[in-house]
Amino acid sequence: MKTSVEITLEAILFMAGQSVALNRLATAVELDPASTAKALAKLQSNLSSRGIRLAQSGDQYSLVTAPSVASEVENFIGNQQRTELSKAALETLAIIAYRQPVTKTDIDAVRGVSSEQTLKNLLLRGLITESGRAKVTGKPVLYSTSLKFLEILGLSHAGQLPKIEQDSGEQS
Amino acid sequence: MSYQVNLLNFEGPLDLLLNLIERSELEITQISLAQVTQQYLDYLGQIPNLDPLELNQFIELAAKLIHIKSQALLPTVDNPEFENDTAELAEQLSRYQHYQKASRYLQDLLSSGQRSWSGPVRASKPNIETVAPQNLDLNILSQAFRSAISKLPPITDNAQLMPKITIEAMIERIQDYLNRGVQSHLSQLLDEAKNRTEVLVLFLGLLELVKSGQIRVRQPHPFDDIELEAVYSTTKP
Repeated sequence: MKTSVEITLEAILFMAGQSVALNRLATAVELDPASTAKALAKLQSNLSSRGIRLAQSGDQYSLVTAPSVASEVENFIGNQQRTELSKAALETLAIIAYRQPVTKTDIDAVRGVSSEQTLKNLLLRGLITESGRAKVTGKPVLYSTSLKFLEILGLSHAGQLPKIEQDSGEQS
Repeated sequence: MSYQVNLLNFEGPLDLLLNLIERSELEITQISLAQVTQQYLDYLGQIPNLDPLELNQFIELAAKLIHIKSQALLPTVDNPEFENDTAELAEQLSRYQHYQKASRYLQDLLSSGQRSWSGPVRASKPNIETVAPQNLDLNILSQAFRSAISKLPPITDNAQLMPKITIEAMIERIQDYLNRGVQSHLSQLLDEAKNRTEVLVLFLGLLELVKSGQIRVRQPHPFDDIELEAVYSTTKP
């Protein structure tokens, strides 16, 4: 029975052609979100050596091409889409990627400069999303990385980001 | 030991400071911070036109560094607050170093070319560069222009084509008017004005006449019509 849920999820995600929220998937397979998430995790692991992978960011899931064959896929599309990111953008992305969700103030505190413009750019490029509000005074916006962020780096989920030694010990 | 480094390549004061410390192959400590203070200040002196807000951040950090250095040179006074500040800066710098490393990892991942695409054929988003449309050439363009012009309404504002009245002419008109009857009212003159330009010139003409003492103006009560009176009601010589 579990197997057919995974198969159903795989088929639905293929047909969707874009990212789908967990809740919608849960409804589609008539299960609660927690069980659906488990099935999706299994699907992700099943696909991990295929040409199509399952990417997950927050509550969004999407089938994506395997990063290892990026150049072949690129040739097929016939479209060079090199992403260029400025140093400021990379720093900001790194902070968000490793500490998400995180507020603008937190980001500024690490960088020692205002990240307002950079955040606007990253939002525009679809590399980060607003993922809620912090439970502190002023309820500032929280930022997280998006599925597109995972795509351009060839990752399936944020946990695949390389670990960096000398963790400052302030992981949220 | 002067480096030709463009300050604008640094993302901010922390970036600069970290660079100085790493370049000297030092750990981040109170001592090393004091040591690079002079270099930091030297660079600060070379800043080209920076936005005041950005400059402010560099200067703020400079103040902290000078404080740290002064304490390192004269460690006589026990200042717990200072200890905290130094530790805070050191920690902030370490944390920044940590994320600079992380951003380098991200850059490596990006450059490796390994990436995914979501969705079928939609994967290739249209290029944002503009592409000239195929069926465009000079003839088509000029025809389009001509037809656009022909659709514009013709210029019917005749005021543009009417000869303008000069102040001198208007002054003569006013004087003629006043000479017909010794006293007249402004409203009568205004009624005769054919358009806005004439009203303006009428006003200017009246002012000129008042200034040269040739007419007098009176308003018996507030908001009454204004009375005009020629000072000499005889005709011009």
